[in-house]
Amino acid sequence: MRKGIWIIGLCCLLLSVLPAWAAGEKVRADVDLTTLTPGESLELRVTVQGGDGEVDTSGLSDFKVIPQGTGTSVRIINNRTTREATHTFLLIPKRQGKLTIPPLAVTIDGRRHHTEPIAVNVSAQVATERDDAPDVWVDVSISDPQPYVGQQTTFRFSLFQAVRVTNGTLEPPDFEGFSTNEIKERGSRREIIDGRKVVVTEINYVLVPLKSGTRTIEPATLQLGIIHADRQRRRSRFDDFFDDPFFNRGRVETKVLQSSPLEVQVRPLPAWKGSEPFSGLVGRFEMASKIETTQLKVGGSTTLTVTVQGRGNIMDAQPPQLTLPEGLKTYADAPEEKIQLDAEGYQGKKVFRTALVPIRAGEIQLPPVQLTYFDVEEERYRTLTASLPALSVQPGTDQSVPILATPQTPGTQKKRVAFTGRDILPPKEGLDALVARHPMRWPMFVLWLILPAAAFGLLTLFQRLKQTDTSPSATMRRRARQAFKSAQADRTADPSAYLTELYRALTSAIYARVGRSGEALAWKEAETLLQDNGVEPETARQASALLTAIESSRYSGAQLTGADRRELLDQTRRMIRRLAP
Amino acid sequence: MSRYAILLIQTLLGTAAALLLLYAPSAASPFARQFISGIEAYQAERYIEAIEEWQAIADGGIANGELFYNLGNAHLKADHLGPAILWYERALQLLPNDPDLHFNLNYARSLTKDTPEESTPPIVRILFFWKYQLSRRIVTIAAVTGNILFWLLFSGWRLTRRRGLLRAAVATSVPALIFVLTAAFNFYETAHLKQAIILPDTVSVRSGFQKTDTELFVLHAGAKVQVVRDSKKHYQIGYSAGKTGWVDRNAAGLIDAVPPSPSK
Repeated sequence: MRKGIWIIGLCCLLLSVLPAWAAGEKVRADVDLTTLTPGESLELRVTVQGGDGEVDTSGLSDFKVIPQGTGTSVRIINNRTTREATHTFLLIPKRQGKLTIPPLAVTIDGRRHHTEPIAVNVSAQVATERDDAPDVWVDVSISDPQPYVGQQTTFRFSLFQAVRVTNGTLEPPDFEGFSTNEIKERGSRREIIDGRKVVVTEINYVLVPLKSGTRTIEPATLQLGIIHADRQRRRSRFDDFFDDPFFNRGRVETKVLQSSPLEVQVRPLPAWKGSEPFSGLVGRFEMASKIETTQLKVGGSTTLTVTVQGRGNIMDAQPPQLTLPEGLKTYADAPEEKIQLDAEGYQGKKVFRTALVPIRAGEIQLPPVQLTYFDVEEERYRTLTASLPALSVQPGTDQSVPILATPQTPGTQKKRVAFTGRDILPPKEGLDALVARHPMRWPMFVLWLILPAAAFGLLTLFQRLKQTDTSPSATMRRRARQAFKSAQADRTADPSAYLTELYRALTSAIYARVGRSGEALAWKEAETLLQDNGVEPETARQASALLTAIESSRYSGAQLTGADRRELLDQTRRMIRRLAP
Repeated sequence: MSRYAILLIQTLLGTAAALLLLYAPSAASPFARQFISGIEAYQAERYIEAIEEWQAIADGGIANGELFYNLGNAHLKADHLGPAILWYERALQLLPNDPDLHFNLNYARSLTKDTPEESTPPIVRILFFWKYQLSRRIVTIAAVTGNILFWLLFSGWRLTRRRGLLRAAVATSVPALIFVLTAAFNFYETAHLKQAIILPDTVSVRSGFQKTDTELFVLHAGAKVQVVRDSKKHYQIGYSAGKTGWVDRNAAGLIDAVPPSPSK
């Protein structure tokens, strides 16, 4: 009995643990299809249990991956709440055959988990259950798979739909190596294909190759929803596939269609060896010219109109070079252009008008106008020539008005310099490029800012410490300095105080020299003291004499002149310096 | 002048000389062979090889505007628009007045697909011309030199009380302060106002870290972005007012991420 209770208990325990163990499976992946045909997509769902995880899809090299979003859900099992996040991706196979969705790494809270691998079979054969022709498919084409550099060519993306579709989102190719412009006007028509009515929608891009060589235009991807018609509501199946789904009723099946890649062989333009300049135009062009009137008077004007029209990079057309004879002034007008972009590319015309003003009478022969372009149909350079009639110029009626301006010769005509080719400047070849020029780090910068200030602080501190020296010599030296400063101040204001301070300064300097303190000093005593302390006898004698001179002036009451006072001050300054230790 | 003053001036001059020596150009001959191989590869149109040679030098700790310019050239020739603009921008930090660099960078920018938005207003570039005309290194050295000169003159005045020195110190303090503040702003800019260049041809800027998060907008190679925040694997970037989102770290190269000096 007891044993039975144990077994039942153990079973209960296992039952309670199982969901938790099952919940321990952190990540899993599943797909909606394992067999598909090229151009079809499958839906991959990666479910992450517990915390948020980051799915690494970099291993899906055989598929084009289109993220579809993340959904979360919360489940409660045996009073345990688990959170589940489902990451959805649309996968489009890049090739046929047996492909594998490899184990995908999912990082959850810093730990890596992996999903199980999934085998996918991409077969050229349509699956048995879908033997019927597809309802929706796409195709791409290019008007000229071997264009020349600069030649416009049209890339056409076509959607064929035998059923209603909605929410179309086209991801065009990157068109690497081409200048691209989407033609806004989309073509739409109905066709009967294999006995089925099909709506064909075309989206066109004008491509202009920038460089020669083989270029691959990657597949375009169209994501759309196929509407499985609601039987209760009948509506034309030829509705625009970009319709708002709000108005469409019925089940919508999301599908991703991918076109095939296209290879384009871009040919370089052959070298131009002609004498006249190449205009840079590539396409098919014609040129016409006309003169408004050939009969005119000196100072009058006529308009030369040159029209360049055709298909190609007409917007790049520059005014044809006019080599006009002397005796004509020219005034170029702003060109007038009328250019359209249609399914075949750019086409239109550019009109250049130039006013011609003769400044002499007579017959003026005009040379023909020439324009050289590369003809993409004939695959060679063509020079268009438009001859011009001669101008017959009569003398002007008002001869009193001279034409002051000189004729504008073609050689001096100024125009804005434009790039005729684009490239970068060459690399630097000097070994200076190997000299490290690291910017200073901020701690070092702060250090360099602080260091001089700190040095200054040390200097100030040192000075303060020096001033607090209490030895008799230092005290006397300070007193000498102060007294001398006072003497300087009193030199003109108070002669008596001036002499007193001068006396103090000199006696203090003598005491500082001998390392003693004192207030007064007789001249003889001063000389003896200095000599006894190693001062040269001559210096000691001069100091003693200066002291005597100061004392004499101080006590005799004699009036010193300004020059005398200055002289005495200078002598005292020199002596204090000589006595300084 | 007392001998203490002379000693102090000698000390400060010695310090300044040491500073100049520390930042004076020093030959990096071990890389010379690699550099020349890179030049030869470039001229033979083996651009990938040239990139490898020069990248190895940069990885070796050589931060030099001319080297970065060459790397930009090689990447551009190899059709790597994003890395080309990144290296040109890095070179611009060190060679702000190089005409070749400006020409090539302008050409590379003309190949980008995204319209540049919100560049520095011209009036700011005129008012603070020294910040934009001088490299960060020069600004820093000018700030340090000005600072040393100011303290030298001030110390001289303190010791001798000659008014000429005080006047010279005051006159020096103004440009020194300007350069010190500019250098400080440059350091702040480097640390907090990081800029980056988008490297792959196309990058989806998303609302979060996950590849399944909503794509907010798309940027193309060569677009210059502001790095608002960074996490372990992602950058939050801003392209213009109102356009912000997350991209993978590998998708953007920091302009200020100059290879570190091996001695530091």
